[in-house]
Amino acid sequence: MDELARVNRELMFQTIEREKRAAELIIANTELVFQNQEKEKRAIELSIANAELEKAAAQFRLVVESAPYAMILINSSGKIAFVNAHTEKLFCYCRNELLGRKLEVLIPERSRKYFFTHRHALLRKLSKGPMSIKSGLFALRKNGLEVQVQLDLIPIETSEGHMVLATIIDISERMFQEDLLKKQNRELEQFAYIASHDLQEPLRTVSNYIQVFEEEYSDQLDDSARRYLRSIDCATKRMIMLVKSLLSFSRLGKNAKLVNVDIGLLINEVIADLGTSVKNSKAIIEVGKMPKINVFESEIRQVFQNIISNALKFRRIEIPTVIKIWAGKTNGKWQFSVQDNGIGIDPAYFSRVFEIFQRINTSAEFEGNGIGLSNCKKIILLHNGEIWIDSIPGQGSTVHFTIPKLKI
Amino acid sequence: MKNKLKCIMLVDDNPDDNFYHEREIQKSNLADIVVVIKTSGIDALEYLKLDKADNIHPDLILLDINMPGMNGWEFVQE
Repeated sequence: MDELARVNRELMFQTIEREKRAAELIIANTELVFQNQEKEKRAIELSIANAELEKAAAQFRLVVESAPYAMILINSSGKIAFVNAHTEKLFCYCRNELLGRKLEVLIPERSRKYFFTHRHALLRKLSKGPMSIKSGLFALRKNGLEVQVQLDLIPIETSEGHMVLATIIDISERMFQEDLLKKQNRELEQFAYIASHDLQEPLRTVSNYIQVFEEEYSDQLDDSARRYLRSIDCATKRMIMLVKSLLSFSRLGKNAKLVNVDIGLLINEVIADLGTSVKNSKAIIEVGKMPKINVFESEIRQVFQNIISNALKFRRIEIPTVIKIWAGKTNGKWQFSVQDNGIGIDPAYFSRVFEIFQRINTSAEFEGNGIGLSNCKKIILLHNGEIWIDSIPGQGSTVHFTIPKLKI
Repeated sequence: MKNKLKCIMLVDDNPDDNFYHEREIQKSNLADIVVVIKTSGIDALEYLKLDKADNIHPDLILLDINMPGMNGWEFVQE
């Protein structure tokens, strides 16, 4: 009996154990099912992310592929790893003809040596960041013809190691247009120069013969005839002056060389040159601290001379004339300002005052031939700067101009 | 100086200018000066090369630069 009871207990115990394990198994099973569900969920998420990545990659490829300039990926051994559609168009090669080949195939023979000897220096420079070659560079097409290009190089890290992304833009058309524009501008300048130079001679003859006529026949003329002759003489003299100013305008910047100039010193010299008109107008001229910069010296002297003498000319008689000149540096450019307390100028004429032979005031009030500020504008443009005017009519004007840093 | 200057040569293709300049010289107090007028560099050279008795050698030449044919610079070179 005892034995039976013991076996029975054992059995019961085992049953309990089994049930326990079964329960554990069920729990484990549920856990597994849950884990499986999680995994499936993650797998779905992953595939969505993958699809998105794929889409982004496809979009990126499309962007690169349809870019309007050639893009070439070069691997660390200098071989072409990828090209876009425009590369085929620019170089007249099929994609398959380029992939895996050395970059040299796209460089003209005469430039290859340069690239080869400077390769390490180039790579060193590139390791510090992107670089750009804007002009003077030619690329070689399959047909052997060369094309002028702008080259941009960007170092990039890829799963296959260091690579360089080269962007190549065909600038031959732009260069052609630029050259054409330069040539036409030169021709126009030459035209103005020749026209004004050759007009001088016959004008001088006219003027001379008015004098001869007056000297020899004056006593035979009546008052009106003498008045007519004077009008002819005045107009001729004025024309001589205009042609002379046109000639000097067209000559501006010819053979001019950049030099380092102490602008403060230059302004003092200009003021000294204007001596009598400064004295006559009893003007006070205040000059701030001025820099030493690279300019076309005699041209810049003309600018200050013109602006200061304008300030003296267009003064208000009823108050003492005060002219303030100051300079400041903004965005790497020097800005100069000349302020007066004169008659000022209507904002409607702000841009017109810089046009050649445009005069705002009538001759009787203020003498002039309308070329001073046009000269200033041309000179400032020669320096790649800007010139403009600010004014409150009746209170005064300020002429501002900028001069960027120029290399000698 | 005044006594030494006896002859001025004008070389200019424009007769109006030559007339005017001759008149200005004659108007001045150098009225006894001989003015020789040539309307081209070639003519002027010929005058200078021919050593005739009645050819007065000019003490001063007023020369136009812009002339048809031989211009002023070429004349000076010759």
